Amino acid sequence: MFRKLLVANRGEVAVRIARAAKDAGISPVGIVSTSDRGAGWTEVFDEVVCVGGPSPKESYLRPEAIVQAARQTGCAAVHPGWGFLAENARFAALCEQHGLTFVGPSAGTMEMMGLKWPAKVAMRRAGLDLTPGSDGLLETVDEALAAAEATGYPVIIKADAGGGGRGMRICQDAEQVREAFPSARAEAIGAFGNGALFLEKYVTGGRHIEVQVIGDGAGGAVHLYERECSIQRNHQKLIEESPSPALSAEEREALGARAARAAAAIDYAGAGTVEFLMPPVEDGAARRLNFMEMNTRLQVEHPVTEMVTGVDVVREQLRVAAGGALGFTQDGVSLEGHSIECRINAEDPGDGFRPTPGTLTAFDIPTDEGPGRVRIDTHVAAGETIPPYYDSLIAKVIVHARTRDEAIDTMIAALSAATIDGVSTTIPLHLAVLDSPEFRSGEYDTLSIPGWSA
Amino acid sequence: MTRSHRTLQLRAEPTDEGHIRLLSPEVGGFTGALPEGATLSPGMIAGSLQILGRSVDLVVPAGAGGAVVGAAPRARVAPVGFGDELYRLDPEGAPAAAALTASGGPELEGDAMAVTASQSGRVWHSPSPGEPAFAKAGDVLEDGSPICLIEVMKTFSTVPYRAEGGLPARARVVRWLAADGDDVEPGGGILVVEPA
Repeated sequence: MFRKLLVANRGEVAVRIARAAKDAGISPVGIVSTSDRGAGWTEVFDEVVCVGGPSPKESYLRPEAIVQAARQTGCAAVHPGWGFLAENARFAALCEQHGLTFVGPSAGTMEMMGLKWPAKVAMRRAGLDLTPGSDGLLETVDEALAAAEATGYPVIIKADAGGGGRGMRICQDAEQVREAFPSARAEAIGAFGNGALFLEKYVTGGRHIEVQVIGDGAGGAVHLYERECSIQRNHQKLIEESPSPALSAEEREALGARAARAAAAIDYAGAGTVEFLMPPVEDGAARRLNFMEMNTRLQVEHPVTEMVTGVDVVREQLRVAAGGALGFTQDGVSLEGHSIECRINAEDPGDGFRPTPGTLTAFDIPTDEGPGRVRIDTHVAAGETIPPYYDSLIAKVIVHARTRDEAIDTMIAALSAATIDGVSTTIPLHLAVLDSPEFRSGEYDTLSIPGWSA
Repeated sequence: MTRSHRTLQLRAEPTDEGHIRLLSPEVGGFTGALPEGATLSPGMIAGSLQILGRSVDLVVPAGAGGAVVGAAPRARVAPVGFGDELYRLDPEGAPAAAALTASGGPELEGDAMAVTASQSGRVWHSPSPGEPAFAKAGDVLEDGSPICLIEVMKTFSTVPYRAEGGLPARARVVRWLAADGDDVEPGGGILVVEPA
């Protein structure tokens, strides 16, 4: 195992990784921006290096400064967390170039999964279903029209290097494809320097279900079952649960096995998430789970998986990165009980989810509310200031109970008893969802937030 | 990553006691620190940072000068972070004629002095690739001795040693400031020398 690990991130995930490192006997080294210097959460580290100014591009997004920080503190490995540089293949390559182990898959795998089309080709070859669409990248408007006709309208044109909705166009007919194709290409070139486009059937609604996988980099991979992430606002996940209330036991086992096989097929190393979309279907029709994308990193919502499987995902990431075998086999993974996570953001749900940085005058989320267990992953405490430069996530409340009903009851009890003052939070939104009959029934999708009229 | 030789300005910050703190502008290994009592003035080079195998000279920014009162990190190569204090200066404590080099170029430990570039360009240590360097540590330079080639817009010219601007008539080479192939700015350090 490594002696020292640099955690190339901040806040909640940095604290989570530092704890896993300590559990594994590794000394965690942190990085901070000038705005985070001296923050309470940085005390979890044995050493801290300031890498630049407050805005992410002056600090947490600077590969050279971060690699230099790792080198001069004698770290053997770098854990990128999520966000920032976590899916930056160049950063992973820079770490390796300077003799540091990047805790994650190879730079080549990251690059492949970072481009939508190569990822789809690799996953189709590995046996996963795709959303119906073009058979390859589209060179001309005529190719796009032919693919759209074959797929059936509505279709969505997407940029291979896409992100943030740029290069994306929804088309209801051929006229719209003719109009949208050139501008989508121009936008993609402008935004990503890569004008490659493809198209697929445009699906509204449906459920977002993802599978946690861990590969050993040598063709071995296991899955840790799925997470249901359909409670979203503007594509940001709010509540996640495991297992998904949408899957039967047979569907669950089959989905996990397919995701693990796909990860094994690309010699995946470390923790990853294979995201699927379950499109809405008419009653009685066969349900499908189509591959959307693979995230080559730890996910925010990994704790629900840890609660139901008992596997410490970060610990396993470190184990694989250090060249060790996984600490368990597929046969050793079982799913027990039900877990739900609520992301507590410093946002005002009563005012269009406006971010509310500020100083916490009170911060208490009780962990002794039943009937299940409550886990809080956070980097803040009363008296701490939430800076305006970063993500609004201040805490994750995770519950684990024998049944889904008990998990919901536990979450309602914990959030109802929480006292957070000084900043507004998304707790009222969570309570509205948890109290709604739709959420209780398990029948929900990505289109609307049950119990909440925005 | 480019191999260009860079300089970075130290960040200056006043203190309540009327001192000036000079802060590291980058993460790196700080080396060539000037000792307590040395006098710094704007434009001088006050040590360098080793960043991923590259050396970046640290320049005293405009408006900051004075005698070093707070000792810099003592290790030969001290790991520092962005914003870490490297020097504390007393602007009152600057002796009137303390500058070691008339040009206001790099200032170094003890008797050492820097030979600086008069124009910007790329420094090459030897006449052509594979040949021995013009100068190496321990060599003695006299007025007119070739030091290096400087490449400016694909034109190469030999840079001679000049015993002027406070540099001695005979100088012994201590070390290179600009690595082979580094880019330098006017006033940027090329060599460290001491009186021979």
